[in-house]
Amino acid sequence: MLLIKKLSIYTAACIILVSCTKLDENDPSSFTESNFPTNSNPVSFQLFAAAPIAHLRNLLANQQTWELHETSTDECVVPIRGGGWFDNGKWRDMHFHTYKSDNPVLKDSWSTIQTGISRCNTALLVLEKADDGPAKKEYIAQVRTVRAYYHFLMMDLWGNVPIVTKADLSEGLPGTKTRTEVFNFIEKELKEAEVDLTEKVDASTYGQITKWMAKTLLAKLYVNALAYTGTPKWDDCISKCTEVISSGKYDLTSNFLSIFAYNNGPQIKEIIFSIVNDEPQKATQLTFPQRFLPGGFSNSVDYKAGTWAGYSTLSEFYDKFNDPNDQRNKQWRIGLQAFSNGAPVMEGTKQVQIQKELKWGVVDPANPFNVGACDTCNWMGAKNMKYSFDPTSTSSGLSNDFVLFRYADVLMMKAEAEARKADNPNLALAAFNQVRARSNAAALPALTWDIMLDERGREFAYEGWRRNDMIRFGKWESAFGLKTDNTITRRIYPIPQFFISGNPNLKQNPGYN
Amino acid sequence: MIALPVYVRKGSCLLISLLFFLTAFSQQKTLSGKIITGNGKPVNGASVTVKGTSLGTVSDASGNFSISLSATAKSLLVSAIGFADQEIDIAGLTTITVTLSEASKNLNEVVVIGYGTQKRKDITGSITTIGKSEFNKGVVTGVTSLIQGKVPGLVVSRQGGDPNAAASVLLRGPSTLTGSTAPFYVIDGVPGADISTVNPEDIMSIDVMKDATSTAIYGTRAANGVIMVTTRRAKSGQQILSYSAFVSTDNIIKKIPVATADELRAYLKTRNLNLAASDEDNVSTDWQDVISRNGVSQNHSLSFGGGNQQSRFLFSMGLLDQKGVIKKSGATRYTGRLTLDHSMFNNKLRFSGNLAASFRKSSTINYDALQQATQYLPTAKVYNTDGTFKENYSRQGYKNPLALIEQNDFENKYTALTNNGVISWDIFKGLTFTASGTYEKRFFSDYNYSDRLSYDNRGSSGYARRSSTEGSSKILETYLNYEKNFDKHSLKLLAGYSWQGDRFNDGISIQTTGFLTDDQGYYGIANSNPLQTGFSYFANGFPRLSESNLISFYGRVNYTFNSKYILQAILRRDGSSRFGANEKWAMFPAVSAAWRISGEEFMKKVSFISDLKLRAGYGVSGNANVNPYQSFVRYNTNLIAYVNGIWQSAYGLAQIENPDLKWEKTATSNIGLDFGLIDNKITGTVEYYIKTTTDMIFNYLLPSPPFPVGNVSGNGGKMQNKGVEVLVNYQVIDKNNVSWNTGLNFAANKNEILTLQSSNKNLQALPLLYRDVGSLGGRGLTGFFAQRQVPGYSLGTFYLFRYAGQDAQGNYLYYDSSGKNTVRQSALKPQDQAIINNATALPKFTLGWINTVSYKQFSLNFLLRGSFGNKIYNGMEMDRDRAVEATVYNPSSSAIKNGNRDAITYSTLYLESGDYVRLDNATLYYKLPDSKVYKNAQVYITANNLFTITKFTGVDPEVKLDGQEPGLVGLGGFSSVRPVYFQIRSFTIGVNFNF
Repeated sequence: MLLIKKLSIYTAACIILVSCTKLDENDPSSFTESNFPTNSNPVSFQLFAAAPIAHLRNLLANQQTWELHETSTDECVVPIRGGGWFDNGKWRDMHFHTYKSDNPVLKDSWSTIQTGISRCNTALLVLEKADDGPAKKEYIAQVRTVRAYYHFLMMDLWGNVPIVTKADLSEGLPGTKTRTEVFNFIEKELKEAEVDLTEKVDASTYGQITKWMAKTLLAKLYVNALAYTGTPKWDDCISKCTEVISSGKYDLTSNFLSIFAYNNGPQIKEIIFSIVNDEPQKATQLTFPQRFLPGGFSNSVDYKAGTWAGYSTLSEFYDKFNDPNDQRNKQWRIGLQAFSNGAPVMEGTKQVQIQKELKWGVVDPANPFNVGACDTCNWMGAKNMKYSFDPTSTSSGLSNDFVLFRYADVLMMKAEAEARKADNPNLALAAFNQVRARSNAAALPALTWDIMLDERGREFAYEGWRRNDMIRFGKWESAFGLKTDNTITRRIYPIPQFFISGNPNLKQNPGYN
Repeated sequence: MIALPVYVRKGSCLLISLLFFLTAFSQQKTLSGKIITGNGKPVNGASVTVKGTSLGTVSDASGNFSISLSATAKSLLVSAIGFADQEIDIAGLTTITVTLSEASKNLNEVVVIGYGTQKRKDITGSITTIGKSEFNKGVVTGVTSLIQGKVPGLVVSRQGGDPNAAASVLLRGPSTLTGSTAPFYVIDGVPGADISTVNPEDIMSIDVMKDATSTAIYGTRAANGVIMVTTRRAKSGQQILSYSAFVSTDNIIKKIPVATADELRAYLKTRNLNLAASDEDNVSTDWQDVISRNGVSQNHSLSFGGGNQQSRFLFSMGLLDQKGVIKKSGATRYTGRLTLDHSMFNNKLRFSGNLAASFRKSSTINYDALQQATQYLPTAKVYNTDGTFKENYSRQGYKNPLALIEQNDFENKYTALTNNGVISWDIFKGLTFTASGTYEKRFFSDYNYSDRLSYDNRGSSGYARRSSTEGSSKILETYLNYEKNFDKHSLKLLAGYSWQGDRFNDGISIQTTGFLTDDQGYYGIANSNPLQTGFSYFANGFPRLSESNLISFYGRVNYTFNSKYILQAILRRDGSSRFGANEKWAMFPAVSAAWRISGEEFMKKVSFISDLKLRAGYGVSGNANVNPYQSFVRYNTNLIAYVNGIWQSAYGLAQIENPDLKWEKTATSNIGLDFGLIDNKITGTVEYYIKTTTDMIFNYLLPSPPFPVGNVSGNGGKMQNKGVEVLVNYQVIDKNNVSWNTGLNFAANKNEILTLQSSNKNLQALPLLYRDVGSLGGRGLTGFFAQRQVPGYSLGTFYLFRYAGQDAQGNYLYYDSSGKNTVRQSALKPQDQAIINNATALPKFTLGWINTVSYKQFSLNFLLRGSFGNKIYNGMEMDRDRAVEATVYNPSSSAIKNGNRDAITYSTLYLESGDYVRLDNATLYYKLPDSKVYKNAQVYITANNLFTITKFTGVDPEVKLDGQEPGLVGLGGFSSVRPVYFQIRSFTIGVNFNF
């Protein structure tokens, strides 16, 4: 009895002493379901809508979507350079069109785009809780437009992809849809969202989703409709372009390179939509000088980070810049190099001299894709510096906003659609020459489809459209550089095996296994 | 009894002791005596108590004691660690000599078992105890280094001589896939206390609990084993003043083998290649020498204390100062510890207090300096003629190694304060209530400054960062111990409750650039001029507060019948806030039994067997090794967005939920045999275990779509370790003047991943077939991993291209996926990488051989230990195997000989045997004759790492073996796998004085 008495005293003491078996958790520095922003604070909602747009920056990071648009084309190649840049063959396979479903560039890009879609879907979930009103409608329309753009990228790169409108598994694991189904989804989303988007074009809407951005994206969708679905939509393309043009909000900017300069912004009348970068905010993944330029530019007056001497342009593409008066020639770095202050760019005791030719097979005939390891080997291949140095940057990133859609493309898409519709390339001549004139390039006497593609190459080099253009113009199977592959199934990339293995509803594209 | 057995015994008879106290007042006598061993050696520190009273004292270094007691006292109880207890009749005596028989260590040694103690003979689980006299000597800075090589199954590896790198610890193989495999520490009964605060000099004994049979009492955090540390306390009647000190000097054993300047010049000449004029300064620079120096360490410890039966105290303080063999690396540590014991009401109520404070200042280095020291051309000089560092900014990743060290300061300070108080109350005979409260506060500050001319920060005119965070733990333990002996039965019961609250990462971090002078270093942050507006002062890992709670209920039953049949059962129920809403609580049971065969009648005839015990058990322990806040949806400002023409932080989903996130559980079956032969001259243990971990906590990748690509913490997978451990000790000679004791330990472990699939119902993560780990970085080597975790294979299984020799030109060839054809590097495809059979980074077995030889005043102690059957991936050798770049980066010695002109890749060429045998520690003691001033004083010399026998070509075969990427030697500081800091050989001279 005594024992029981004492034990009960002890038990009581324990209860008084501790009285707590609660194990609830609350993260004091995050929003959780329990302390979610309320409707009285609409700013929070706007900041939820902004995240999917800000996420677009990540598409430009190293080994991301930009590389899928460019490194498999005649514009850009990443050769092995001695001991560097082998990276398990991922760049070699991009160039030779031997990409397989385990290529990490494909995996990382898929991840980034799907993260973008998921950000859209979670943002929509939150936005639906907001007070009804024009602001809510507009935020939702912005997010839906961005989601459509992410789907556009998926469809453009992989063709047959899932349509994802939920950020959870409430509708199960998303399954593969045909390219046409995805095309129709994007078209419907954009048409619906367009209505609620702002028409305003000024500093406050810069970098945000406007009605004109949605229309330009629709035009881009339509100009490729034949390539995507087998059914042309030339008239739809022409009408969307016409709406943008007749709005009077945009114009060609006279100084070509200023469109892409570190201080580009709302003052550039040509920009319809850009991914806004800002190095001081560390809001940039645009590190082209790092990826492209030889070591001599490292940690220099012009660039405050290491340069890796990677990507170059094929000489046959560089040769397309054949008009000496063309302002656009200035986007290339070639020959003896100097910094902005006039000082020579030195590597050791030698001044860096970039050469046009990538000397395939000179170092090692058995392995031509390896151009060798030496300081001068790193100088092979012209370097595109359309997105040139940012003198305010203190890191590898640049503040140059990356231009996704610009007025010149709207003019040229409209002209191309009219020419395609009539099957007469010369119908586009006036518009193409209008754009050429801005860069002080001589007017072309006549157009062929090949010349049109070349002209688009000159105008939009390194802007992430080359793969799209080459496929639309039927040139994806032609030989360039060391690449001779002409397999038609290579027009779309293989779905990353990593994601297929986790989702039985995803199907691999034809021609890959 | 449980916590403080001597006091409990003494205090259990209040009335009798009161009586004795009264009578003693009138009739007292003094009894003096000497306590010796069977061969006449004095026994120091033996506890002498008058039976039935609380009177007691302790023998001194010469074995002498003296005690005042009642003239009517009948008998004395004498006990000492390592000896059998004795009861001596003292009626009518004033002097006495007590000869203690050296009971087997395995029998009467007191073992700390968590919330109590037990005699070795009653133990049913696997616990190895290492006492102070057996600790490793030399520059020992961490607790695990004290017992390195001495506990079978506990693999401790120190990677090089970095004074700031903690040793890696692996007990019975890895049993988790998320991070740490470090055991759980209990210091003087405080679970989870910070081990880095303890001065090794203060430690009296270390008990290593290896199986869940024992560790289940610490249920939740015990899956990697539990290490119980007991620090020194004053005993009644003791007067303590002791001082110990050592000084040691460290030298690099081996450098990374790279081409010397002359070898490089000769090589280039044969190839008709030339160095750029800017790279040829006509010097021979050994960059590894340039960045290194002789290391010196010193240590001083002073302690004093004493007391009587009612109150005792011990205070100790220590200073340790280390200068590493790489310039600027070093550490200074100050420790202080105060222990107080106080008893009232005739020892029925006992208090103890422990205050511990530790202050550490570390200066660390950028490990990139090691890579740079191997690749920087030896033909270049260190300084330009104007005294500035020579640099070539245009060459990718090519930095002056010394500048990298000299122009960058990385310092941190760590302060830990622990305040612990314990009350024990004997409610009635046999029942004791104990409450222990602990508050631990930790402060961590980080200081970083890079000079205005430093390679990485000259663009921004210098860079400074400071961060300061604090954390704390509150621990409350309350428990009841009950002990009852009747007839042949002995019963011990324990029931308890504990609550723990932890806070981490409460603090700030700030960074800035733009300095006009380097003079103020990181203290000049306020003087900086960031180059532009908008510089992100807080971007670099701003700390986020996290908090967690742990609540436990636990109980234990020990039952012994006739001292032969022993049963133990443990049940612990743990709840942690870190887990998902559905799975906060878990149960951790354990049962075990032992049979003292030698206690049976039929064994009495087998005279050469003095002790034999068979024990077996099964138990489950857990691992809560997951960060707080992982189980629910969180939104954070994880992106900055351009909204309305201004930059604002945008909110996005930071984490999806997993309400099923739960405990990782490790079940151990353990069977062991303890034996003592020939009067316990030979003692030992043989054990076999199977340890299976289920519901491993793991970061699962989410299917994308529909989730944002990212991880979610979940459970899944199964991993198994099976192994055998043998520990044998042989007292070869035990004479008065000469003794020789030799001990051998052996441990073999086999690890296997059984599956990696998730077991959470509500988590639809991607099925995990394998996971690639061990990316070392390096130019042209992104996207490669050296190891693959895959079911059916051990953790640390290598996954590489298979080297197939060289072609006629010397270029490397590799097998393709068919295993038959060979191709050159440029034609390799990812699928040509293959699992390398029978190549794992985990040792198949480890050995330790300990010897103690004494002759008169001298004794010699040495430890030889070895590790066998593991492979090491020598990433540093791979990175330097670039003869093709010899005009721009220095190649390894072998690269310029082998003729390969291709780029390099991860291959079996760099996979080397990790076998080694090392004379870890040899110490020669000389015991000074006692003088009037000092007693029990000794002088010693220790040599650490005197020699190593190995085929490994890198710096040192003792590489990191814990974590997810064991057995890798890294290249630079960017990867999670680092290069190996130079291994050192040190010589130490030290003294211990007791006054």
